[in-house]
Amino acid sequence: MSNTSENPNPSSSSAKITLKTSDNELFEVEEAVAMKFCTVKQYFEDEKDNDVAARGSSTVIPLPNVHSAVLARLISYCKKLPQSNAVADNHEEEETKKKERKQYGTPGDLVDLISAANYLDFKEGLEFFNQALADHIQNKSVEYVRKFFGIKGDFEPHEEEKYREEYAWAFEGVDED
Amino acid sequence: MQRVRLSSQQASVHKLGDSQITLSPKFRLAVFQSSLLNPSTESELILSGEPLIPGLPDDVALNCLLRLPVESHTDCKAVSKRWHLLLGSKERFFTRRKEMGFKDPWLFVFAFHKCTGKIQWQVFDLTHLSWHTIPAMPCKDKVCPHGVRCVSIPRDGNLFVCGGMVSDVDCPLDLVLKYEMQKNRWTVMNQMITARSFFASGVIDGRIYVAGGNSTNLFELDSAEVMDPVKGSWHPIASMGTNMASYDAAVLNGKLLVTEGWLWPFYVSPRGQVYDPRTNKWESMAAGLREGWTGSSVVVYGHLFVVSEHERMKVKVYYADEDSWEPINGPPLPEQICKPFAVNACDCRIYVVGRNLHVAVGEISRFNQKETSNKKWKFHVQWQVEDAPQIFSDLTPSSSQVLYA
Repeated sequence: MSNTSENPNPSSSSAKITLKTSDNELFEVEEAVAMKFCTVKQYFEDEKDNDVAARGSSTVIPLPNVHSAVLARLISYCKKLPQSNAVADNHEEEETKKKERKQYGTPGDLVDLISAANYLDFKEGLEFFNQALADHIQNKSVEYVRKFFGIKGDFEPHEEEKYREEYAWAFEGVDED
Repeated sequence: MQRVRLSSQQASVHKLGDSQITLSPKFRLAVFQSSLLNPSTESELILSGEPLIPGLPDDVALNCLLRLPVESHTDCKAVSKRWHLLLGSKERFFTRRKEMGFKDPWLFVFAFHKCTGKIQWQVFDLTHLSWHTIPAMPCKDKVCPHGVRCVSIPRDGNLFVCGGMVSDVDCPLDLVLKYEMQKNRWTVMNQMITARSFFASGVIDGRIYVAGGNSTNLFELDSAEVMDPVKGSWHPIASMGTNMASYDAAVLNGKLLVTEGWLWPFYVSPRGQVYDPRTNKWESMAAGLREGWTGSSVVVYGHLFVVSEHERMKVKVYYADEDSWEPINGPPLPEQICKPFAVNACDCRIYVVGRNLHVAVGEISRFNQKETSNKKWKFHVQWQVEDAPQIFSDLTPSSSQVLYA
């Protein structure tokens, strides 16, 4: 343990950070994972400035906007992240990514995941879940999308009817809800 | 081939005046009489507190919705007023994408109907692999699909169509059109100083260079000119020093390379000229470069590659130090891709559009040879074919450009 005290480098892989969610659950995560969340990183750095001793596992970082169920999924996604942040460089890789995104595409969850990723300023996650959401709603019917997001159709009845007629062809060939 | 000039008649330059040009309406949205499409309604809708996606801040929701492929817009824009505002026009959608820093490649194919010769642009979304159309070019004259030159400034999402000639009459054009992806609109630009067809073209430091080509008076041109798209006017630059039409051209290391290509019956070696904008001087092209330039060129990894004009050939690369060409590793062009080809590249991908608009995407990778001490890059290509829909079976490509939007 003397090792950690001698090494003040916050990116040392062995260090753990404790995160506290809105429902008061504690998550002990590796520092490398936690540092992906820029909000946590910022908090951590601010804390460090204030009090050098208050570091590592002794600090509990509160995340009042994130539920434990969501955080657990974000952390598991974070752990699966490849080391290099390279863009998919061929079609096969893009297909794999697409499949991977599909796994997260359970209705409702995605909005929570995006919201949390946004709060945590977790860039790769935000990118990934936003794309997953876009993947999910393309080729879906208007009713499905409205229900999915809880959006009320705010068109006047005559406008609504007009769009229905105008784009009647577009309502064919949509995926099963 | 295209430079065999049989016409003995001297035709006058077609100045495309007002009578021949139909400008696309500047405010397409105004045609619809709907309160939804009034831009001021966006702020009203935001003020009314209706979020794009409930539970998400608008910037995050935008970041998601701007990823929706264009083909899903017709459906998705019927969801709510704010969605309609965002997805109802390509102009707004692509402007927002640009603001948010989205940059995906789109392949613009300048094609013509093989029987009627009717020109049209077809646009291939290289991310979602789907085809789209754009408004027709604002030119009433029946322009010959050959001899026109297209250049683009990919990062700005702009492409330019220059010169060419009127169908059936051997008459070059000085017409210049600009298409802007963010506006989904064509604009007629200032004409070139000299009307030309089958000329060399290229973009260096955001400026458009054109050189040589066929002129009105049956002669090939020596002159060259440049346009800064921001300023919009053409200025002459040094003449090439030889009258020549262009078979192909490329921009390599900030210089414009122009070759006339091999001419039947191949008795004489093709001429080639190289322009350096820093010195405003032309010089002769190295013999190996011009003699081996037997197809459409692209520049990838700072190297000049040529896709042969013949089918099922290997791509080759030019080595300046040795003034020689070498075929690159990997398979030849896939057999589904038939002549004629329209070739372009972006990043490390080569796009070859063939007859019926089937597209071959060639992923170029490079590696260093271990056994040799010199730093000579070797290249490898891996092809993937994207079949075009049946409705394109009468289309022949003439040129292709890649734009980011």
